[in-house]
This record gives sequence, structure tokens and C-alpha cells, in this order.
Amino acid sequence: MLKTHTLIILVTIALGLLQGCATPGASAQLATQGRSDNTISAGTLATVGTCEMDVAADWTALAMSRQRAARSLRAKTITVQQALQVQLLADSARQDLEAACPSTKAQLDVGRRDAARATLRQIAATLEKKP
Amino acid sequence: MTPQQARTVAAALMAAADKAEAQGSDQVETLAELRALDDAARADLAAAIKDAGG
Repeated sequence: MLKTHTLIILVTIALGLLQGCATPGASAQLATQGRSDNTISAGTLATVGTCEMDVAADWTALAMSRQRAARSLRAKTITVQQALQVQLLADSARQDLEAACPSTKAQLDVGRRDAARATLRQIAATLEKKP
Repeated sequence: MTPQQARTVAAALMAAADKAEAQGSDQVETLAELRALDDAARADLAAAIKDAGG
């Protein structure tokens, strides 16, 4: 008899293997027989083929890069010019992230996501330059 | 992902989950929350630039 967490891990691995075959946007639904001991009774697991979690970290990095620029400008460790450059680059990265994953049910555009990441690296380099 | 980024993502997801539950929805609008996060950061940077005479 499998423990609950072992069962969840096995199901997650199985769904991961199935992801390549999944219809984009389809939900994976898993139901098991409910038992009086602590097995899972039913649940809809993470939707396969959607992009939002693929870009969540990048969106966060984008916001944090702007926050860092604002802090650095206020601390006078970067120039206004550097801050303006960061804002422009961040706007460009945002456009790529929007295109990479325009909606919850969309499939990830890897090229646009990678373009955003390249721009985020440029922003980091801009913030590293001494005024 | 750095620990700080992970905490920021987690906070955005929690806020989105709270909002979904308050609206009686079973779908979390993660992207909307992430966009709002960047909107706020953009506005703050714009304010900092303006204050610095930019």
C-alpha cells in the first residue's frame, strides 16, 4: 500500500512523462478511489501545456530589476541615464514576456521567452556598471 | 531563481489565489498578478527617475 506522498510523487512523474503527448491546454484530471485511510480522493492536477508557470520567474525578475534600479538611483549608485536605460530595456523584456505567454491557456513561445531573458541579462549588466 | 525571487513569486501566487477564492473562481489569474507586480515596479522607477531630474 502506497503512502499518500509517494502516490502524489508517482502521479506527478507520470504526468510529466505524458506532458509531451498532451493536448495543449488540456487539464489532467486524476481520480482515485476514496478510502478511509489517507489516500487522495480526487483532484485536478496542474494543467499541462500552459505557459504561465514557465514565465513566472521571468516576470518576477523583470519587476525586481526595476525595483533594484529605483533603489540604486535613489542611493545615487547609478545615474539617471542608467535608470532610463533599465526602464527601456525592461519595457522591451516585458513585450517579449507578454508575447511568450499572452494568456493562461497559451503555449509558451520559447523564442520570445529567451529574448526576454537575454534582455534581463542586459539589464543586470547595466546595473553593474559604475557611474 | 534566488531566494528573494522565490519569495516574490510565492507572494504573487498567494495574492492571486486569495483573489480567486474571494471571487468564487477555481482558476488563479497568475499572469494578472505578475503584470500588476511589474506595473507597480515600473511606476516606482518612473517616480525615482522623475525625482532625480530625469
